[in-house]
Amino acid sequence: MRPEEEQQFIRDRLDEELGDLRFLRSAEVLDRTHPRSLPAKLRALWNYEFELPLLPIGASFAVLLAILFVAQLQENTDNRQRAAVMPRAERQLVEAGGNTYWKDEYEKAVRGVEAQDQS
Amino acid sequence: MQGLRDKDEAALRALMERYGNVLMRTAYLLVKDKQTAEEAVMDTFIQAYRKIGQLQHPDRLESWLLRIAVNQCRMRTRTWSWSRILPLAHVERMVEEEEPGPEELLIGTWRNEKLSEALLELDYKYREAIVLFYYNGLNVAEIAAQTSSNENTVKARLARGRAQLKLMLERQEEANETGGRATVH
Repeated sequence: MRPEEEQQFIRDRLDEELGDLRFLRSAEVLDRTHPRSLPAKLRALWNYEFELPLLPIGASFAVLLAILFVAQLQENTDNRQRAAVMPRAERQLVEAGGNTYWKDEYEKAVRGVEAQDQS
Repeated sequence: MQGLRDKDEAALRALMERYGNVLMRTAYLLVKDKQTAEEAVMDTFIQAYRKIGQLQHPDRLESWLLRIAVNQCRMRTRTWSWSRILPLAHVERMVEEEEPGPEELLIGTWRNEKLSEALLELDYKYREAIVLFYYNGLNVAEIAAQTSSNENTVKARLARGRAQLKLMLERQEEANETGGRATVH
């Protein structure tokens, strides 16, 4: 028996063995592709599949994360630089509400609170 | 074909009548479960209907449908495995060199055993290659295109699948003979 004949023979044999298997849900397919009643239309809308391009969305998300990370890093660096620029001896201590703070840090916190209040 | 492009219901019905049973049997051989196979075929037709505009060559409708069905079956049988991260294609190439080629006949060892039952015992990747080759009548290049793999991988899977299938059919035959003798005594 040649390979092509064998292919055909096996195909026939499988068709015979699986003869009872038939596709019987074409009505459900039509119900989803051509919905007539309102519930069927709603179901079709609910089950509607849409595709999201993974690569562009993933890349955009990665870029956004990178920007946030860089901004955060920049802010931390600025704070550290400011602290380094102002020597300890030049910094002043202030007392507020029974606690002691560095004056520059305290003013920065007050400015932040004021800005929040205004917005 | 034009009817499908025009979103004609009768054309979709005709499409399902023509290809529904073959796709159903193919899907069943791939997913090993009737209900899952039905769902895969339903989604195949819905996807085909919605994306018919993407089919460039109308004469390739059957293989296009088969490709969608195979992808639907793969989605339903997909399980996480280390082999996704560490592909073992080189192992399959080694197997290809050691075992008989994909064109070697299977029929020699096969008598009256249930072929479909033996097929369902195969691992998915071998079953897919064997089903597409024997049941859907695709050649190695076509299977490679359908499954987005290279031809050597397909040849290796066919050879390995056929070797496993022969073994299973021989076991079935032995079991039948033993059962037969026991009945005679």
